[in-house]
Amino acid sequence: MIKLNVVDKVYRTDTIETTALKNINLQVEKGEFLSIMGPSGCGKSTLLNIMGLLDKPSSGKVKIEELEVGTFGDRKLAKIRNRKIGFVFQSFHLINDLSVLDNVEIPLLYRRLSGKERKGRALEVLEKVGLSARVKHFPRQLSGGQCQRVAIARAIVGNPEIILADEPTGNLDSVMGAEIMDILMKLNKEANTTIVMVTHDIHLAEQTQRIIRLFDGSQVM
Amino acid sequence: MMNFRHLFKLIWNRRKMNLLMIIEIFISFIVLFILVQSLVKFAFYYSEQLGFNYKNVWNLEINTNNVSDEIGRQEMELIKNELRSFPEIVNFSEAFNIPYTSLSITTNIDYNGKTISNNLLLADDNYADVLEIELVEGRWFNEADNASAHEPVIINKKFKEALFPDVSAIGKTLQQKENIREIIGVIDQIKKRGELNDYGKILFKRINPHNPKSWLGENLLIKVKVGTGIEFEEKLMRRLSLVSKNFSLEMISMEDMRERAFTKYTSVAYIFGFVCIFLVVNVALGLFGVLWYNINFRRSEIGLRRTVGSTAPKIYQQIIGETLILSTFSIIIGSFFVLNLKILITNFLRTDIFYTSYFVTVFIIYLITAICAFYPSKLAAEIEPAETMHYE
Repeated sequence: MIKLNVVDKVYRTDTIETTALKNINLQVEKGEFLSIMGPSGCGKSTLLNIMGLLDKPSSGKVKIEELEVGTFGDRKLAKIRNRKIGFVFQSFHLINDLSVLDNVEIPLLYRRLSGKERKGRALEVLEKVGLSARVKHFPRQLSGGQCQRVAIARAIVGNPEIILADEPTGNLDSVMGAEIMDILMKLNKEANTTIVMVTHDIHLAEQTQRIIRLFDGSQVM
Repeated sequence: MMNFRHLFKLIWNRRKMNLLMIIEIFISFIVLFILVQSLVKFAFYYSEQLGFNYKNVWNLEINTNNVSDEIGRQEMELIKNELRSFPEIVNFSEAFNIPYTSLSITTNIDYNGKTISNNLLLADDNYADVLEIELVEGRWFNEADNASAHEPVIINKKFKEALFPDVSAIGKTLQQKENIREIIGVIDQIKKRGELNDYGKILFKRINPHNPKSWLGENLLIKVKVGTGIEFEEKLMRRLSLVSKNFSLEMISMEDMRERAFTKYTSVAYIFGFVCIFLVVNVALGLFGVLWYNINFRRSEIGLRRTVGSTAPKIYQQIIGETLILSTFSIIIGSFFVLNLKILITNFLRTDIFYTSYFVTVFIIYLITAICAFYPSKLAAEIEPAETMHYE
């Protein structure tokens, strides 16, 4: 599903060169639930950004469903992100001035769909995450757990095959964190969605099928 | 293309934040409309025919120094006799309230219960020839009018359209207080105050030198041969000063009068235009600043949109689209004000000038806001999602 081959990522300024990722080889299979762990600044988010086509590696190859994306331009990458990948972030990144329903519809705005279709799909996924009663609410009227459920609904509204979650429980208490983890597990099991999750929480990581550990930008066993 | 309904929703939900921008654009719209309507008005007026020929016409301004009508008439005829002796002079006309002067003699004429206000001009029988004024109906004053039962008058087309839109005006009688006037001619439009003015309703009365009750003109419009220069003017003034004992005389060419009239308007237009442009530039800079601030404020949102499938050009379109929608709100409010002004003050502006000014203003506002949004939109389109999504 996702294949990274000898991926390096180096950030350069005029005076400083920082290696964020070094020689990463990783293959994520379809339907796999994988977690990435490591100390702060070890390159977890950079790795997730490269897998999510939000960033480009300095060297190495990235393949999504056997498609080598290195030469793709902005338009093609945006299309793959929109069709194949759903994103969940630690700080939810909901638009405060839009209702829950409108927030969930956002990825569908970049597809050729009617307003009715968009609404129908958004309501469907909001029901899946248990927020049918909150569709007209605004993010500031929701709890952290509810916000993250909205973010998950937004991530899955386009039926992506991959979900990339960057510390999805990082801003939540343990009870809400567990709720979010349940939703992700359910998605993985029922919809066979490939999930890659960055986390600091070993208990959550242990619930996934595989753990990748990073240290100073390198993959460790 | 970005979904407009989504943009409207976003703007509506952020109405408090957008209020400042809407007010700024609204103020620009009003200021710009005032400036544009002046410029459009001048452009329209300038493009329309003047109605007379000022070239090679000199204006001898006469100050009668309050001499009696009898003495004044005698002296005027002496001057005219002198003028006839110069081969350089093609023709001349005694007149009062002549073109390119700001004097306005307003009279009211009654016809069938309708009262028409008009600017009264006085002219003798040569006036139309000297200024090459075209008649569209009837004729100019001549000797035959000495014996007419009613005082003859000539009106312009605008006057005629107000009273006799579908029928000939010739022979119609008008009442001015207890006096009856008979229309003997209709001239084409004439811009009494020059090119940068609209046509007014004009009524000509005849100066009859044989009638002691007739007005004494304070101007002699002298048509000279092409190429007649300042030397002749000096010679002429010397000779006229010998025959004119009581009047004070001053000569000015109508080309100079035209120039003066232009300068009067253009200097006001420059000052006014400068002030308006200064205000609009200030508002544009303010708008630019607000948009720039908003982009920084919205980095997370823009990063998210890029993450979930928006391309950089779509972000660019969205920001420009939002700004144009905000401009539309301001234009709607501004339009409400200016359209009501048009309805309330019927002669506020000519309809063609009003609508041209309106559409030009709308176009400029969209252009200014699009220009102001250009750079912030470019910045927004350059936001890298990877940079913005990891933190907030």
